Amino acid sequence: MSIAENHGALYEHLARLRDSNGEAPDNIFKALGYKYIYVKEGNDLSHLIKAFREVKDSDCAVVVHLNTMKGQGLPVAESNKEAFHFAGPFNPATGAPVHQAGESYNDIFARHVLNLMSTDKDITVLNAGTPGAIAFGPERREAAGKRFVDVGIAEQDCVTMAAGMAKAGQKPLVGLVSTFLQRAYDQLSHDVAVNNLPVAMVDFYCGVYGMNDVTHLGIFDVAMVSNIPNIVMVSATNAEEYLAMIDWAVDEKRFPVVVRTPGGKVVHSDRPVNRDFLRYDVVEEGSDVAIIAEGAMFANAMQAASILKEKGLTPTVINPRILSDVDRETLDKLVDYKMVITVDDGILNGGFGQKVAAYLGSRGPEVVCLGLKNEFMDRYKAMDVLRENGMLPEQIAALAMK
Amino acid sequence: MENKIDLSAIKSPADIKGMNIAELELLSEELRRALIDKLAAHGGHVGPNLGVVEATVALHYVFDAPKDEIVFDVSHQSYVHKMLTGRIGAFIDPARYDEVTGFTSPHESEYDLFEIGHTSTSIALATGLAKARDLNGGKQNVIAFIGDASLGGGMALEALNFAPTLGSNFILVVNDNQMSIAENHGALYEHLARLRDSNGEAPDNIFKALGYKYIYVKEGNDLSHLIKAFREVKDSDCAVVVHLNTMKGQGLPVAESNKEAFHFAGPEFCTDSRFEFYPCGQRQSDVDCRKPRCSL
Repeated sequence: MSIAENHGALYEHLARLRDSNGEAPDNIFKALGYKYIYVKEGNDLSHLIKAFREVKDSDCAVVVHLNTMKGQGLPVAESNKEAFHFAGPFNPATGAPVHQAGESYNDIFARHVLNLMSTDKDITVLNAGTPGAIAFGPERREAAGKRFVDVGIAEQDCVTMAAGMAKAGQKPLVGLVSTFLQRAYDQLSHDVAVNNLPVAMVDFYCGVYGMNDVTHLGIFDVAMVSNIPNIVMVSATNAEEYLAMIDWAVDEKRFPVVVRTPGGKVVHSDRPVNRDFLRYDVVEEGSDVAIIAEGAMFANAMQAASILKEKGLTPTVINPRILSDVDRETLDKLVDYKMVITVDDGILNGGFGQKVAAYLGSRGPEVVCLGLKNEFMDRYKAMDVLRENGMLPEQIAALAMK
Repeated sequence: MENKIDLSAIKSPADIKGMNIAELELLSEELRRALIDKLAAHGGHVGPNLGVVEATVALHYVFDAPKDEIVFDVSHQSYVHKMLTGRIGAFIDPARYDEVTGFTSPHESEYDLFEIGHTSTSIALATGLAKARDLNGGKQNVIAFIGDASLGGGMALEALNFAPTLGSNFILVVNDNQMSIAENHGALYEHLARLRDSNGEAPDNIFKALGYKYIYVKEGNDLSHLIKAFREVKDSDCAVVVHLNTMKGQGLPVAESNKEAFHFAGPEFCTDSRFEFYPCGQRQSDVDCRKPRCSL
């Protein structure tokens, strides 16, 4: 198993090795000069100890190939391998999760994209070993058939294969987890962006509400992606806007588009979506102070605005959408403001806020950029981090009142 | 039969399709001579291109680009490809030397599918083209042309693992000239050596392990052998590796015996084979980079 099922010729090879008790010809490990040992009973202590003793203090490179059972010893895990790769709290007898999952952006994404694919036969979804993370579980993968491609845990291959498909006139839609997108930087830059190929990408588990352990942080994707030439990166603030961005990204042929999935709970809005995603969306017109906040932070900006309005102030609130460039026309209207506050859902360095500050420069308003520090946090509480960085609504409001 | 091939008459691969083997060999000689003249004066990737003169001629002779899609890995070895696909002027007219880039470029020609300059991307790009072809019900050949050095790159291995799962025609030409820029490093290269030494018969074949059909071409600089191998795999129904044994720098003695220095050489490099060359990067001046052989 990967997280889901394996994909790749290597796995058929490993199957031949298992089926032949390690004797199959064309052994890839031997090809590369390794001594090779197969352990059929990879969950049996005697066999394991014997094999490890055999290779201890070896004088060369050696492979010990263990055949193990994922989930061994917990029946629900043995027979639901994909679901039990990682599980929140659950009932060990039944496997049922303790907490019912609410609505998620991932699920909204997958449901919508499958729908798109039923009428648009040029769309292929590509992923690298994390289909569950983009809510393409077994049933949805089956429904998508040949137009869902899991290349295995190979993000570089995934992005570049999408580039090849875009060159051939198809509409590839790459879905990758934010922290794993990092592994494909040169493929974004050299393969997709230099060639300006119309690959659509959606990244997941982004921002402060994403995964919170040090090696799975989703707070660097904007810095990484939005500063590569030719790539247009946009960030959604609610489900309706998110889906509209995906529709646009899939059809946009002039440049590659990366859509950032908002973090946190799903937000719905019945305000008509402003579909000019290369422009900022001025959601509330005001004066003197403007708050520009992307993605999941937009809600904080709106709440801050409510607080300010109670104090008699009329802030302008802007949803930037585009992170890879600034909307000069909209920013030019802010030059007479006293203060412009930007809020990045990610690190400050390389985020959209710094681009705003650079553009406004010393032309007028005081520009204050809020966002996360340049550090690797580990097992943090989102609320604590937001508070430390002054990004809670009441803190933004307090800042604006200065 | 012409005694000389008029290179300026080559406007596209169509112009070589009607040649017989003797003419193709003459063509290769002319191409190599023109290449040496340009590179000696202008600089560029020397060894890599000289090593694939015959392979490139054979590719365009057997396959039908641009319908058949060829992706050159790194694409620093695509000079001969450019000469055969409408850009011969940039290689035979000194006033036009700078009309072409050093790598494939879609801006120049429909025969160039991608801007490429980093290694190990060709197989992944080719799987994208092949997947698109399969979804569209197409029948064209998709060929990734990759050197042994680039094959060891992580994403090349990722794509090497993935391509056979497409279950359709996928042609991987491994241009094994036994060199990276400098010498190769990695167990893969000892493996390729065993494959070469055994004429492709060594056990534990890494390509067969991954489900590829496998063909070894010992004489990777011989047109007849190359054409035969490419014909064998054309319109395949599965993933296939054609493993070519080529000589980096073939046809230019200083390049053959100073492979590292002549991977890329600056303008006006010396072709006098009495000298040895230090590997010293892109610009080679007579003073900095030559040293006499002991016998001189």
